Amino acid sequence: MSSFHSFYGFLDMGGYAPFVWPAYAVTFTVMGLNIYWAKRLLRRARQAARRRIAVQEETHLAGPTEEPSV
Amino acid sequence: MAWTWFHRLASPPHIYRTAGRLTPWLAWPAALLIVAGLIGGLYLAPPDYQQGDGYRIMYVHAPSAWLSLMVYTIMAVAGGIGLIWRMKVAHAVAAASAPIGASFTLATLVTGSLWGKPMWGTYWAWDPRLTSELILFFMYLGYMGLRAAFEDVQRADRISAVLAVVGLVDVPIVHYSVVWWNSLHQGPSVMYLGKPTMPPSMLVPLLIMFLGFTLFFGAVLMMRLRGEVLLRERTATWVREAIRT
Repeated sequence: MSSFHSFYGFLDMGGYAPFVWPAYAVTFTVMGLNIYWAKRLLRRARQAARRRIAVQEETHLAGPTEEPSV
Repeated sequence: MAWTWFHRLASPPHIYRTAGRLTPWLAWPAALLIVAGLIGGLYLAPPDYQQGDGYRIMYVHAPSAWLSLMVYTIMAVAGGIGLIWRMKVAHAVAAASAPIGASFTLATLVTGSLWGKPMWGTYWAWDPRLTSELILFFMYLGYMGLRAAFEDVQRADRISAVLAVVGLVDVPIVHYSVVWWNSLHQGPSVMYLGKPTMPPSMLVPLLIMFLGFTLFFGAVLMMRLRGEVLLRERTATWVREAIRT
């Protein structure tokens, strides 16, 4: 099935190993970073929302604050 | 009214929940397809008669390039919809797309460069395809830089959407550059005059990778979209319920 005769042959990529493997490494690093960044964005957005709600509830419990007259 | 489904679909709480539910249904098929594509492309596919095993870079380069163009198109169309119909969720889609598109555009440039060295004898040339793809990368960076310059999300949405729409002109230029100008870069190889130029043993892993990368984008977009929707809903009561879990 395979086009390679040995594991070494697979790693060597017909002599193109210095180009093929870094290309795959870069692509999968980009994919990993995308997952990490997306999770971080969602986590931070949730934390920010939680803080905002906590502040709102605090001010609500403290009673109506004076509106600045314009 | 017949329009109620549309408003429901575009309502932030509905999008937040749906995106959360969709994520695993996109992520797991993406992972399976990419693993299958890797086995097919790196191991099972025969070597190319001219490029030997060097052509296997194609299995990550071409799907990355596809994402770089598709994601920009989604970003610009979503930004345009946000501008015209003042739809927050559309702006959130555009903002969520940008970093994903930018990173895959960079992957396209780097993997292309690594493919160019052994085949063309150079990592870089100011060739129409390469140059227009580099401009695409700068468009993404410009879009993200512009967004970061505004404290107010709504203003950032509107102004960056204009840039995204204007920059859309580069997408067909990248795509047709190899047809319009004499390019170092090879022409379209998946579909040429409706007939694939590759045998199925090479083509099938590539198509699997295209699908896998596209679903991967979908999964990451859903995660980012939830974050972007939350950032735009500063006081809505549904947010209280949504972040409780």
